[in-house]
Amino acid sequence: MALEPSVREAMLSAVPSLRAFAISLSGNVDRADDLVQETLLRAMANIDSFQPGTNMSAWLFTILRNLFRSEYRKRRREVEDSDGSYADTLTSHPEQHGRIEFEEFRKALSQLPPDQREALILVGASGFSYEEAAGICECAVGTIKSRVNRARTRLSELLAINSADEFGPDQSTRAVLSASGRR
Amino acid sequence: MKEQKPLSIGPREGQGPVDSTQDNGARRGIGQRPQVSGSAEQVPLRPKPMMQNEIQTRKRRGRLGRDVQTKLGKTLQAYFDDVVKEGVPDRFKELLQQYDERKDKGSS
Repeated sequence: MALEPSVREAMLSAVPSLRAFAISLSGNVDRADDLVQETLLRAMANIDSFQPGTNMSAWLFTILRNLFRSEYRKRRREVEDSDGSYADTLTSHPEQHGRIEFEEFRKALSQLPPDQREALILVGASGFSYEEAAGICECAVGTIKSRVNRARTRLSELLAINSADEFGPDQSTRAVLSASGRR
Repeated sequence: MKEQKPLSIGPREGQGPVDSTQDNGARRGIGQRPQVSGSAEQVPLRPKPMMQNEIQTRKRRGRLGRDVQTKLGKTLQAYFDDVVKEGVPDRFKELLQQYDERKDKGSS
Protein backbone atom coordinates (compact mmCIF):
# COMPACT_ATOMS: atom_id res chain seq x y z
CA MET A 1 0.00 0.00 0.00
CA ALA A 2 1.19 3.48 -0.79
CA LEU A 3 2.04 5.86 2.01
CA GLU A 4 -0.74 7.92 3.45
CA PRO A 5 -0.40 11.42 2.04
CA SER A 6 -0.18 12.87 5.53
CA VAL A 7 2.56 10.41 6.49
CA ARG A 8 4.44 11.16 3.35
CA GLU A 9 4.12 14.89 3.96
CA ALA A 10 5.38 14.48 7.49
CA MET A 11 8.36 12.49 6.27
CA LEU A 12 9.30 15.00 3.62
CA SER A 13 8.96 17.93 5.94
CA ALA A 14 11.33 16.24 8.38
CA VAL A 15 14.01 15.73 5.74
CA PRO A 16 15.73 19.14 5.91
CA SER A 17 16.44 18.93 9.62
CA LEU A 18 17.16 15.23 9.35
CA ARG A 19 19.87 16.08 6.83
CA ALA A 20 21.26 18.80 9.04
CA PHE A 21 21.40 16.34 11.90
CA ALA A 22 23.13 13.74 9.74
CA ILE A 23 25.66 16.27 8.49
CA SER A 24 26.35 17.46 11.99
CA LEU A 25 26.92 13.89 13.10
CA SER A 26 29.02 12.71 10.20
CA GLY A 27 30.59 15.95 9.04
CA ASN A 28 30.20 14.80 5.47
CA VAL A 29 27.38 15.53 3.04
CA ASP A 30 27.60 12.35 1.01
CA ARG A 31 27.59 10.12 4.01
CA ALA A 32 24.84 12.19 5.55
CA ASP A 33 22.60 11.89 2.51
CA ASP A 34 23.18 8.15 2.43
CA LEU A 35 22.16 8.04 6.05
CA VAL A 36 19.00 10.00 5.33
CA GLN A 37 18.17 7.72 2.41
CA GLU A 38 18.68 4.62 4.52
CA THR A 39 16.58 6.18 7.26
CA LEU A 40 13.68 6.89 4.89
CA LEU A 41 13.83 3.38 3.43
CA ARG A 42 13.72 1.85 6.88
CA ALA A 43 10.94 4.15 7.95
CA MET A 44 8.82 3.24 4.93
CA ALA A 45 9.48 -0.44 5.40
CA ASN A 46 8.46 -0.18 9.04
CA ILE A 47 5.74 2.39 8.74
CA ASP A 48 3.35 0.06 10.55
CA SER A 49 5.34 0.54 13.72
CA PHE A 50 4.90 4.30 13.54
CA GLN A 51 2.06 5.43 15.73
CA PRO A 52 -0.03 8.05 13.96
CA GLY A 53 -0.28 11.22 15.92
CA THR A 54 3.17 10.86 17.44
CA ASN A 55 6.17 12.89 16.41
CA MET A 56 7.32 11.73 12.97
CA SER A 57 10.42 13.83 13.18
CA ALA A 58 11.53 12.27 16.48
CA TRP A 59 10.87 8.81 15.07
CA LEU A 60 13.03 9.47 12.01
CA PHE A 61 15.79 11.03 14.12
CA THR A 62 15.81 7.91 16.28
CA ILE A 63 16.22 5.68 13.25
CA LEU A 64 18.96 7.84 11.79
CA ARG A 65 20.83 8.02 15.04
CA ASN A 66 20.79 4.25 15.40
CA LEU A 67 22.01 3.81 11.84
CA PHE A 68 24.80 6.29 12.38
CA ARG A 69 25.91 4.66 15.58
CA SER A 70 26.03 1.19 14.15
CA GLU A 71 27.96 2.47 11.17
CA TYR A 72 30.29 4.41 13.44
CA ARG A 73 31.00 1.35 15.52
CA LYS A 74 31.56 -0.75 12.45
CA ARG A 75 33.93 1.71 10.90
CA ARG A 76 35.83 2.15 14.09
CA ARG A 77 36.46 -1.57 14.14
CA GLU A 78 37.58 -1.49 10.54
CA VAL A 79 39.77 1.57 10.75
CA GLU A 80 42.30 1.10 13.48
CA ASP A 81 42.19 4.40 15.19
CA SER A 82 45.48 4.13 16.98
CA ASP A 83 46.19 7.82 17.29
CA GLY A 84 42.63 8.90 17.87
CA SER A 85 42.46 10.60 14.51
CA TYR A 86 39.27 8.94 13.42
CA ALA A 87 37.36 12.12 14.00
CA ASP A 88 39.68 13.85 11.56
CA THR A 89 38.92 11.38 8.82
CA LEU A 90 35.26 12.15 9.32
CA THR A 91 35.74 15.80 8.64
CA SER A 92 38.72 16.07 6.32
CA HIS A 93 36.71 14.96 3.36
CA PRO A 94 36.91 17.55 0.58
CA GLU A 95 33.15 17.61 0.11
CA GLN A 96 32.31 18.78 3.56
CA HIS A 97 29.21 20.70 3.94
CA GLY A 98 29.01 24.36 4.49
CA ARG A 99 31.08 27.36 3.84
CA ILE A 100 34.41 28.42 5.06
CA GLU A 101 32.84 30.58 7.73
CA PHE A 102 31.72 27.50 9.58
CA GLU A 103 35.02 25.71 9.21
CA GLU A 104 36.20 26.43 12.72
CA PHE A 105 32.87 25.61 14.25
CA ARG A 106 32.51 22.35 12.37
CA LYS A 107 36.00 21.31 13.39
CA ALA A 108 35.26 22.00 17.04
CA LEU A 109 31.98 20.13 16.78
CA SER A 110 33.74 17.11 15.33
CA GLN A 111 36.03 16.97 18.32
CA LEU A 112 33.20 16.44 20.75
CA PRO A 113 32.46 12.90 21.88
CA PRO A 114 29.54 11.56 19.78
CA ASP A 115 27.22 11.40 22.79
CA GLN A 116 27.73 15.03 23.58
CA ARG A 117 27.58 16.14 19.99
CA GLU A 118 24.24 14.52 19.28
CA ALA A 119 22.72 15.79 22.52
CA LEU A 120 23.82 19.32 21.78
CA ILE A 121 22.47 19.25 18.24
CA LEU A 122 19.15 17.72 19.21
CA VAL A 123 18.50 20.23 21.95
CA GLY A 124 20.41 23.22 20.70
CA ALA A 125 19.59 23.18 17.00
CA SER A 126 16.92 20.65 16.08
CA GLY A 127 14.41 22.11 18.47
CA PHE A 128 13.73 19.00 20.52
CA SER A 129 12.96 19.23 24.19
CA TYR A 130 15.26 17.51 26.68
CA GLU A 131 12.59 14.85 27.06
CA GLU A 132 12.34 14.23 23.34
CA ALA A 133 16.12 14.13 23.01
CA ALA A 134 16.26 11.61 25.83
CA GLY A 135 13.73 9.51 23.97
CA ILE A 136 15.75 9.65 20.76
CA CYS A 137 19.00 8.78 22.53
CA GLU A 138 17.35 6.22 24.78
CA CYS A 139 18.75 7.65 27.98
CA ALA A 140 17.63 9.64 30.99
CA VAL A 141 16.71 13.30 30.75
CA GLY A 142 19.42 14.14 33.27
CA THR A 143 21.98 12.42 31.08
CA ILE A 144 20.99 14.59 28.14
CA LYS A 145 21.25 17.71 30.26
CA SER A 146 24.72 16.89 31.47
CA ARG A 147 25.87 15.95 27.97
CA VAL A 148 24.58 19.23 26.62
CA ASN A 149 26.35 21.14 29.37
CA ARG A 150 29.62 19.35 28.83
CA ALA A 151 29.31 19.84 25.09
CA ARG A 152 28.81 23.57 25.51
CA THR A 153 31.72 23.89 27.88
CA ARG A 154 34.02 21.89 25.65
CA LEU A 155 32.93 23.74 22.56
CA SER A 156 33.60 27.08 24.16
CA GLU A 157 37.06 25.87 25.13
CA LEU A 158 37.78 24.59 21.65
CA LEU A 159 36.65 27.84 20.13
CA ALA A 160 38.40 29.78 22.87
CA ILE A 161 35.37 31.85 23.63
CA ASN A 162 35.82 33.62 26.87
CA SER A 163 33.62 36.49 26.16
CA ALA A 164 30.96 37.10 23.64
CA ASP A 165 33.14 39.47 21.68
CA GLU A 166 35.90 37.04 20.92
CA PHE A 167 33.91 34.81 18.69
CA GLY A 168 31.02 35.97 16.77
CA PRO A 169 28.32 34.59 14.65
CA ASP A 170 27.52 38.24 14.34
CA GLN A 171 30.33 38.77 11.90
CA SER A 172 30.86 35.46 10.21
CA THR A 173 27.43 33.97 10.43
CA ARG A 174 25.52 36.98 9.36
CA ALA A 175 27.75 37.17 6.34
CA VAL A 176 26.91 33.55 5.67
CA LEU A 177 23.24 34.01 6.18
CA SER A 178 23.05 37.01 3.93
CA ALA A 179 24.99 35.28 1.18
CA SER A 180 22.98 33.63 -1.50
CA GLY A 181 22.47 29.88 -1.60
CA ARG A 182 25.36 27.65 -2.45
CA ARG A 183 23.71 25.57 -5.05
CA MET B 1 60.79 27.61 45.51
CA LYS B 2 60.69 30.91 47.29
CA GLU B 3 59.56 29.79 50.68
CA GLN B 4 61.04 26.90 52.52
CA LYS B 5 58.76 26.98 55.53
CA PRO B 6 55.60 25.62 53.98
CA LEU B 7 57.46 22.48 52.97
CA SER B 8 57.39 21.20 56.52
CA ILE B 9 53.72 21.93 56.84
CA GLY B 10 52.74 19.90 53.84
CA PRO B 11 53.69 16.39 54.99
CA ARG B 12 52.51 16.93 58.52
CA GLU B 13 49.07 17.96 57.47
CA GLY B 14 48.37 15.87 54.47
CA GLN B 15 50.65 12.93 54.19
CA GLY B 16 50.61 11.30 57.60
CA PRO B 17 53.48 9.92 59.62
CA VAL B 18 55.88 9.11 56.82
CA ASP B 19 59.11 11.00 57.19
CA SER B 20 58.80 12.59 53.86
CA THR B 21 60.75 15.72 54.48
CA GLN B 22 63.49 14.58 52.18
CA ASP B 23 61.22 13.06 49.65
CA ASN B 24 59.10 16.10 49.73
CA GLY B 25 62.05 18.38 49.44
CA ALA B 26 63.35 16.41 46.51
CA ARG B 27 60.03 16.50 44.81
CA ARG B 28 59.19 20.10 45.31
CA GLY B 29 62.69 21.44 45.58
CA ILE B 30 63.13 20.99 41.88
CA GLY B 31 60.60 23.71 41.60
CA GLN B 32 58.36 22.10 39.10
CA ARG B 33 55.32 23.97 40.19
CA PRO B 34 56.27 26.14 43.10
CA GLN B 35 53.24 28.38 42.90
CA VAL B 36 50.87 25.47 43.09
CA SER B 37 52.48 23.96 46.16
CA GLY B 38 52.48 27.36 47.81
CA SER B 39 48.84 28.09 47.27
CA ALA B 40 47.73 24.55 47.93
CA GLU B 41 49.11 24.83 51.40
CA GLN B 42 47.78 28.24 52.09
CA VAL B 43 44.20 27.58 51.22
CA PRO B 44 43.37 25.03 53.92
CA LEU B 45 45.14 27.04 56.58
CA ARG B 46 43.63 30.39 55.89
CA PRO B 47 40.58 30.37 53.73
CA LYS B 48 40.44 33.83 52.35
CA PRO B 49 37.49 35.60 50.88
CA MET B 50 37.42 34.92 47.20
CA MET B 51 39.09 37.46 45.04
CA GLN B 52 37.28 38.87 42.08
CA ASN B 53 39.42 37.10 39.51
CA GLU B 54 39.06 33.79 41.31
CA ILE B 55 35.33 34.09 41.03
CA GLN B 56 35.62 34.80 37.36
CA THR B 57 37.94 31.86 36.80
CA ARG B 58 35.60 29.58 38.61
CA LYS B 59 32.68 30.81 36.62
CA ARG B 60 34.53 30.20 33.41
CA ARG B 61 35.42 26.67 34.35
CA GLY B 62 32.07 25.70 35.72
CA ARG B 63 29.11 27.32 34.14
CA LEU B 64 29.38 29.28 31.00
CA GLY B 65 28.34 32.86 31.05
CA ARG B 66 25.02 33.61 29.51
CA ASP B 67 26.55 35.65 26.70
CA VAL B 68 28.83 32.79 25.71
CA GLN B 69 25.95 30.35 25.76
CA THR B 70 23.95 32.66 23.59
CA LYS B 71 26.77 33.01 21.09
CA LEU B 72 27.30 29.27 20.96
CA GLY B 73 23.61 28.66 20.55
CA LYS B 74 23.31 31.12 17.71
CA THR B 75 26.29 29.71 15.88
CA LEU B 76 25.05 26.17 16.26
CA GLN B 77 21.64 27.18 15.04
CA ALA B 78 23.08 29.05 12.07
CA TYR B 79 25.27 26.09 11.16
CA PHE B 80 22.26 23.82 11.33
CA ASP B 81 19.89 26.15 9.50
CA ASP B 82 22.42 26.54 6.73
CA VAL B 83 21.57 22.96 5.77
CA VAL B 84 17.90 23.13 6.64
CA LYS B 85 17.27 25.96 4.24
CA GLU B 86 18.43 23.80 1.35
CA GLY B 87 15.09 22.07 1.66
CA VAL B 88 14.37 18.59 0.41
CA PRO B 89 16.79 17.38 -2.28
CA ASP B 90 15.08 15.79 -5.27
CA ARG B 91 16.58 12.39 -4.56
CA PHE B 92 14.44 12.07 -1.45
CA LYS B 93 11.26 13.22 -3.14
CA GLU B 94 11.92 10.66 -5.84
CA LEU B 95 12.65 8.01 -3.26
CA LEU B 96 9.22 8.37 -1.70
CA GLN B 97 7.63 8.61 -5.11
CA GLN B 98 9.26 5.42 -6.30
CA TYR B 99 8.28 3.65 -3.13
CA ASP B 100 4.65 4.61 -3.64
CA GLU B 101 4.66 3.57 -7.28
CA ARG B 102 6.26 0.25 -6.49
CA LYS B 103 3.78 -0.41 -3.75
CA ASP B 104 0.86 0.54 -5.97
CA LYS B 105 2.00 -1.83 -8.67
CA GLY B 106 2.53 -4.61 -6.17
CA SER B 107 -0.92 -4.34 -4.67
CA SER B 108 -2.91 -4.00 -7.90
